Amino acid sequence: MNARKTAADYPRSHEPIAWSLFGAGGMVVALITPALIVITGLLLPLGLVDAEAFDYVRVSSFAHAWWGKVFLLIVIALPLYHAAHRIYHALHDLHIKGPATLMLLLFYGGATALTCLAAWGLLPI
Amino acid sequence: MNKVNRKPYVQNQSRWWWLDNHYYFWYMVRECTSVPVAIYSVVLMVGILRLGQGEQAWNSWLDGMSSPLAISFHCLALVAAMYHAYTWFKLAPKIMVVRLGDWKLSEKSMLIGQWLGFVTCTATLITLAVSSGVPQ
Amino acid sequence: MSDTIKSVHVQRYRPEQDEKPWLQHFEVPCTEETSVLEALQYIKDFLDPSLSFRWSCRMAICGSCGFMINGVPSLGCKQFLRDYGTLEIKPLDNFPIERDLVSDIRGFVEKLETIKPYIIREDETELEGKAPITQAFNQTPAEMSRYQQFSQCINCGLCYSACPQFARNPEFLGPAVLALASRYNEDSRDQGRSTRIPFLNAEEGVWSCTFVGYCSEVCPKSVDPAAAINQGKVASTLDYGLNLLNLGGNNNE
Repeated sequence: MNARKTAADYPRSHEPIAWSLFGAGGMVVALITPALIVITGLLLPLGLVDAEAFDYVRVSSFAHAWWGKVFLLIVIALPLYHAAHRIYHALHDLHIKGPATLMLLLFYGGATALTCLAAWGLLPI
Repeated sequence: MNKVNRKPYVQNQSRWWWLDNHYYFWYMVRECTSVPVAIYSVVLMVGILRLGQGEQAWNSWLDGMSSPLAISFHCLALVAAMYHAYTWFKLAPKIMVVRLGDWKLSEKSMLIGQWLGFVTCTATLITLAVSSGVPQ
Repeated sequence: MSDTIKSVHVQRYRPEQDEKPWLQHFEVPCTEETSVLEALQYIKDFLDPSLSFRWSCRMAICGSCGFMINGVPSLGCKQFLRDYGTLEIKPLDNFPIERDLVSDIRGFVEKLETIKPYIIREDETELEGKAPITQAFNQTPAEMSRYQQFSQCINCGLCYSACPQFARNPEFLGPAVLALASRYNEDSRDQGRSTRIPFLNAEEGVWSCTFVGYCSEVCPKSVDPAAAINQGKVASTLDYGLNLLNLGGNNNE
């Protein structure tokens, strides 16, 4: 019979970092994303609102304000981390394997890279 | 333990396990809602980059959003985000238990509270977006 | 009510002669009250005495007679033939099959032992030999309500059969073990939380769970292990933060 495992056989996981971002992102996707999709993806293209609502000057001034920047960064970045976490685990569920470090880099690294790109695009506006 | 007479049959998981029952299937659907969500974040990010490039670039992004492909994608993304919200609000009370001393917030109150939050957020954002007198 | 005959397919696996499991067909007479366990007992008594399966209490408390009944992890004694058309009875998913419907649950029992599923007192050594059993540890109903649900577990293993993450990685401590860890961590009389939280913190602890939730669906005692594990994620995240900031937490050593 094998010796009973002890706490020393169980190293701490760093998943709490990924999970916290996943959780925050999940709340954003649940509370805010549906409205954003309706606004930018449906009301705008279907002409259900005045075209002025998406006027360049109006949107620029929104993205120019610091609170506009924070809002936009949150609704872009947190859902990315949320999705990266889910896709990373779903691939594991589906038995789709890749080198562990590469997969981590691809998903969490990818979300970080896209977040930086969004921040870089936002700053000069 | 005498291993001589033992020959346990190991049951391995099929990669199609999530088709075994509807519970697993809807779990996988829940996880897959993250794909359109991720794409939508990229769409928004591209919008920001185009906005920074000037009025012409911004207007061409707006035109792109009106293509039939974009509209179909956003319909799908909306369904995905709503299914996510439905499952998220249902599971959150099981994860975050709110306690104050001996008092505990019931799962039902938390569920209702989250949906009220959803309605408030959605109504506020849509009103702000469509009203021309948005604070600037 | 007069007897009706039901068609029952039972999975067989005789290690000394079978390479892999196969289904055997039986016709079983049943009444309104015949349980699946009784159907198996009828088969063993009258149709094929070589059939092996585990059972004991016949009243959903011993947790021995877990099977896959028409693909759903269930207790044989808690399910009735009246609710099924034809039946297919297989051993629990995700465990090695020892013989016929008998699963090898050794891995589960060993995991159960590791997390110390009993009340631990810091003053235990002091009290040794001084009759601590007679000492009363008072608890309010509110304190009891924090863990009572998790204490209903009968270790039947249905949740492990329902868990695709346990199937994916058998090292995962799994629903019942993690629920039982919460059961003692949440008990106001217990002082062993710091010895158990390293197990929660591990990859094989709460972090293998993706909240599929089917474990809670099949649990015959409504323990809701999925809730226990995911509350454990919150506890583990707090511990991670405290450890990072050097404010306490556990160092998993």
